[in-house]
Amino acid sequence: MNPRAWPLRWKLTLWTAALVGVVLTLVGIGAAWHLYREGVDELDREMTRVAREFYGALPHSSEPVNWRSPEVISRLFPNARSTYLVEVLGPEGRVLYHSPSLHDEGLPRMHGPKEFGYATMRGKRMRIAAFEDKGYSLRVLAGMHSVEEVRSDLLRCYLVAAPVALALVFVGGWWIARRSFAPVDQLIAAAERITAQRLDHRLPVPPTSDEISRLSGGLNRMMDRLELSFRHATRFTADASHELKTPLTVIRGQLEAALREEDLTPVQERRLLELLEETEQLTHIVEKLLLLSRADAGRLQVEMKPVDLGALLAELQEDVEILAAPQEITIEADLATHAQVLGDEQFLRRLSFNLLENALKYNEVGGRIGITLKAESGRWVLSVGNTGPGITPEEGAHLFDRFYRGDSARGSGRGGHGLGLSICREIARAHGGEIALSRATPDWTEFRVTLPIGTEAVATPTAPAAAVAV
Amino acid sequence: MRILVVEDEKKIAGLLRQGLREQGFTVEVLDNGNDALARALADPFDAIVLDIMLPGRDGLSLLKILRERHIATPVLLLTARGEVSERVEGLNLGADDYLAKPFSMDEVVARLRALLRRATGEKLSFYKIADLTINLLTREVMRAARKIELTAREFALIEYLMRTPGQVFTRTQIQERVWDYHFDPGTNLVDVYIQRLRRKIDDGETLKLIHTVRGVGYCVKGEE
Repeated sequence: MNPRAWPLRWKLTLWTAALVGVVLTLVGIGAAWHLYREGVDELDREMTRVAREFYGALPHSSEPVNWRSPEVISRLFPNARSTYLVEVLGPEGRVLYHSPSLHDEGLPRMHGPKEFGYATMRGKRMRIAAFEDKGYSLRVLAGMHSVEEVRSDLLRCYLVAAPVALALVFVGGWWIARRSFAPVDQLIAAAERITAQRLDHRLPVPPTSDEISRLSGGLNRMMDRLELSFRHATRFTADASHELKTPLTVIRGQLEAALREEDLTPVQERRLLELLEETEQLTHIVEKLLLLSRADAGRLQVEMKPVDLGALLAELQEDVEILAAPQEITIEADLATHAQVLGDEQFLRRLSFNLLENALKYNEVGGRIGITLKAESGRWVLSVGNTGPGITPEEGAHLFDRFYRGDSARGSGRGGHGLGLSICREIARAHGGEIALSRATPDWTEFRVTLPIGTEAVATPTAPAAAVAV
Repeated sequence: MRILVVEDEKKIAGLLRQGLREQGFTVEVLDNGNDALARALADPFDAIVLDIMLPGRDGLSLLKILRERHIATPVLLLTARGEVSERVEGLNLGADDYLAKPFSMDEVVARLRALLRRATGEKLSFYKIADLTINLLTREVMRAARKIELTAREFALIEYLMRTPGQVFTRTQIQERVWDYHFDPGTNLVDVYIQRLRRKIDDGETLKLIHTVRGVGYCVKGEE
């Protein structure tokens, strides 16, 4: 999956966890380094103390010292411990004394002139210090294992603790992110419910005054402005269509009255008839616009009653067969019987007839029309296809636009206002269905309407529960 | 025949007055619901053409009161919106028919005639024009002694036309009544069916019964 498509809360959680991981590592390295330094400093102080005691107890160089006497040695090194080793060299560089456990190995040489340094002895890392006073050189050697042990203890703890901490940060971060983004999810869900038909819906504004609440508020104000202009547009269409009705009635009435006059010349009569026909066309456009503006305003009134879509289509098929006969177009119908839908019979008839009429209008002599109605995954699927000049993809994209007429329809003398399919779509949607161009090949055009199956389905007459539910 | 027209839009009221007078009706026009109610209660009319949107009392409430007082005068409702609910409510309240604006005057006349005839209680099971007879019970159609086979739709169409011989029916009227299509089907469906009827009924006969009326519609009549 593309990381860009991850939900924001996951990205946020992962980034937080990564940052905490880096910080934990840096802190761990710092702590280990600091502890190590502290341990080494402690060793150095210890070795310096040994040197101070040694030189304090040592007589001046003129006085001979019996390096073999245990009393002398224990006076020079009062706190002799096995944790460090010593070696004493005389002014001539001869070894005068060394710790018994050193045998005759001799201390490793120091690198450089530093007072303190590191050396490796018997495969182990040691801290070594050199002192010089009263003509004697003293070298002290201390094992590093205590310091290293502390460091490795810390690292072990860290290796256990860090993943646990990281996991806690991850889970906690995810929880916080999820909680913070929950209002955003609600906003998304609410915003998706707002459609042209439900423009009055608003997003919930949380009682807090954080960014989410400001976002909701801002979006809601935008919706207010949008709704206002949309309502204006819809209202305008509705009002305009409505206001056109009276003048249209008068024009039509006067034309009809004029046509009844006795002494009309054939030219006058033809002109009047043409005017009457155009007036009727105008009337139809106004009626369609009013219907569409009502649908836009969500006020398309649909009387929901059980309708047998199969019977309705069979009835229409008869008409279409008669209309198709002059062009020798054959109708192939495969209709489910008892295809019950809940809907408005007038609207469903109009939807079906519009599709059949188009299939007829955009057909060719000797062509075919295919009508099928079948149940498919819980819905009725009505397909109406026809032969004839196909629809180009460009036309297909705009078919349901208002007043859109494809190039093949324009100037072909096939009439129509380019509102039929928009109306089909509004009718389908008002019934909880959808319409789409399902096939557009050069020789076959097919529309597909899906409608919910009526709840009081005739197909299952044995279910008595349906009757109770009403 | 006295018709009461209740319509507040002057131009449409004028059109109705003119159109109905031409057809020989006596017309009285009122422009508000309250006057119309008083007038309809005081004086019996043969039919009322009633607009729904009226100043004062609206058409539906007027209709309701008339029917509550058992005044059965046929009422033709005029609706501006043609909305389903208004249509259904009007018919439920006792309207006899309705027409959505913009309407055709011919259609108003045709529907009024049908209402008036229905009001006189005319009921037949048998229609006859010249030598064409149709039997509503047996659904038999005869032209003189020749039996004519018709599909259900063709029968419904000829029955509708024969109910009032000589009456012109518009395509819209025919579509709504015979097909129950309350929209513009955008095709010449009615013309195609009329052609088929002509072929079956009038072909080879000297007396043609199915007539086309100048771009308006069709009628059935026996003589010129």
